[in-house]
Amino acid sequence: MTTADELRAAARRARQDADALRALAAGLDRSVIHDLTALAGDRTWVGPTAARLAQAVRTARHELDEAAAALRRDASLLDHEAADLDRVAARAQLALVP
Amino acid sequence: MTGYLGYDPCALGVLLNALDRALDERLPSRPIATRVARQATDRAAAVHRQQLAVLADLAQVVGLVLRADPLGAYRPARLDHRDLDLWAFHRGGRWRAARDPGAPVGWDQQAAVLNARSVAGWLTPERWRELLDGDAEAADPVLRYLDGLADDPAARSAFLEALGAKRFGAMLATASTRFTSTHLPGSADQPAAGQARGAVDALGALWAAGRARGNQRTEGWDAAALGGPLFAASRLLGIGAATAGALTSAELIRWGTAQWRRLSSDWLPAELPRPELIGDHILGALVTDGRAARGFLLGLSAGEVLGDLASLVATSFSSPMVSGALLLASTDPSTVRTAADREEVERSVHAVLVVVDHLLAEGLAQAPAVDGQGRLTGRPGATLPASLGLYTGRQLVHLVDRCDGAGAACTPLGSTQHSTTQLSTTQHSTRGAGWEERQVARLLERLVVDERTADELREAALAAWFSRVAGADLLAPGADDAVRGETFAVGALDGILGDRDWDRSRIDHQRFQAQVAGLDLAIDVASLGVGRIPGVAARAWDPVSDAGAVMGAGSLGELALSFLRPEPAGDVRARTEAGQSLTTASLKTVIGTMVSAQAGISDPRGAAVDQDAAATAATTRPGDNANAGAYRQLAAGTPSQHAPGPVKDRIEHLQAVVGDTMTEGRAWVA
Repeated sequence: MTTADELRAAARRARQDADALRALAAGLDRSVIHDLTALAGDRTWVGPTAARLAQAVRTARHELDEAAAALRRDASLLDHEAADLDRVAARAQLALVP
Repeated sequence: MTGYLGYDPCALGVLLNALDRALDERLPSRPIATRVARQATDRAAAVHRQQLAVLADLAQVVGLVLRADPLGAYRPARLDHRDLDLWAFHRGGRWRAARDPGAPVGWDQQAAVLNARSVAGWLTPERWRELLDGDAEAADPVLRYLDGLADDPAARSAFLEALGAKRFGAMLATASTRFTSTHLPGSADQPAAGQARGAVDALGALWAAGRARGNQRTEGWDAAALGGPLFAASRLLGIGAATAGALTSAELIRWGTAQWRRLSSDWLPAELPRPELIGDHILGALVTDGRAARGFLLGLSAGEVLGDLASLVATSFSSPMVSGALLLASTDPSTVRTAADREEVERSVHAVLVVVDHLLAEGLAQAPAVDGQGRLTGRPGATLPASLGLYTGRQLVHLVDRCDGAGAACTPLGSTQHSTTQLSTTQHSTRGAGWEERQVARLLERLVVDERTADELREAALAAWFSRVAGADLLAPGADDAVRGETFAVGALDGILGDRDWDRSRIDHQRFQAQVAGLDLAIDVASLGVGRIPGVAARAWDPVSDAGAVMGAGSLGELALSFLRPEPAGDVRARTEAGQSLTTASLKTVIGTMVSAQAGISDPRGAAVDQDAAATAATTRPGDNANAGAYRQLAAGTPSQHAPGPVKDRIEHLQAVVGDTMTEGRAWVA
């Protein structure tokens, strides 16, 4: 049988992972790839290859945004899971009260 | 343009640095405890790695471009900075170009559009003025680029949209002013003027092509293109008229009338030395559309003041040739199809000829004359349009009214109520069309004073007769009235021309008698001072006296001036009557041939025609009685001799109708 302390420890780990996922999402948001959009525009160069790079940068930004959003969704799920674990742990402790 | 890569080396260096930093980028990493979080982290890291891998490939290309890659795919390219087709690749001295082998399908078009917007942004009003004021080396690439742009719909559209109506109008105005300030009258175009005209034409071609595709049709664009300075506006009117689908007839009328009125009322010599340039542009644009030409003339004739129409008819702001071309276009038979068209033609012809009549009656204008280069010219504002005889002759059957000057009991010829033929023209009362009593007769008399106009009138009247009579059903009973209607006008013109010859003969004789009287007086005065002079003079003029013996007795003055003696009146009468008889005989022959053809008789004249007589009649056409026998034979050699009974009767009947009506028509003028 899982104790309340074990449940609270699991909740703490879930919150730490959620924070880690959010930190990773923030890292993706800060990626240098986002700076490339302005730098790869037609003020820098114009031509077929330039257009290809601009398209590649747009795709990369889109993919990174999607990945960051997915990380934040997963972090949110972990936060909810941690809250549930805390509630279960609390109920288990309260059941022991005479 | 295919496969070129333009770049700013400094900016590309910054991009390469950023790419390098992206490739070295490491995502924050923390210990992960849960499986779900680990999976999420792995997915995100994979996406990051994947995108960096794509960018890494392109970063290599950036590096190749920056290192100039002399032997590789991205080797440097040298572009001519004056070539605006490559403008997007070298925006300023810092930009360089390299070959780009990675051009995908459709890139050319994208680049052309991008380039067009770039050029439009670069062509500020100040730069445009500098280009036109500068030497040709600076302006030529721009004009060449604009010329080429007309053939590229996407790029042209991008250019005009980026330019906007306001800046387009400003550029036109600059070029127009440049032309009018550098153009020298009476000489070939100066290079600067030619360049400015080329600029107007290039912009006009873009505008017209865009308009033909449904663009540039707002009021703003119309005002910019057609409502600006007159040189450019008239030029664009011509370009629009010549571009299929760019301007409708109604738009041509509206803008042509507005421009002509502006020219007629606002022209100042100091601003434009040769206004006929503009006038010819406006009228030339309208010549391309017969309906527009008619509408334009009717527009100028609307209202009480006819000054704008008079300036056209007196060729104040246009050349006689172009003014004449406009008049002919307005009555072009191919554009007259409905009753409304015919009514428009009659009204416009009336408006024009009333002004012509006034100008001739008051001695304000005369027919154009041939200059040293064989062109028809004359004094601006006092010269009638060329081909006025042809213009009038085409409409002669509508103008000559049998009842003009006759009593109230007279009925018009060729009335549709009495005709079952297909003749589209009928005689009707010219009074109803706005003519005063005998005004048409007086007008025709004034017109035929000019020999060229008289010849045109005769030819046009005969051509119209041939055309319309040939289109009628001559075997139908109702053809008589229609043939009378057509023939009467030809007879009337024949009579007017005969009267003119008579008048000339009379005036020549009066002038000769005055000269003789003057010389006789001089001789008499001299003889008072020197008693023996008459005898001396008589001996001195012995050879002339021999001639005088032949011609009859006369004074010394008459003998002396015998080489100036006009053709005897009897000869003039004989020549005139011979010519008139020949015309009648020709029409009889033609109508006989037409009847035979309609009756299905091939080669109706056969061997009956004396070929020698026909040749003699043709060669002595304007001549004297020498041709009388010839044309009698020609007239006798009609198809009636060999046609079957009913057809022969029909031919002879219609020939009698032609003969009688020609006689009646000749009497009309009297």
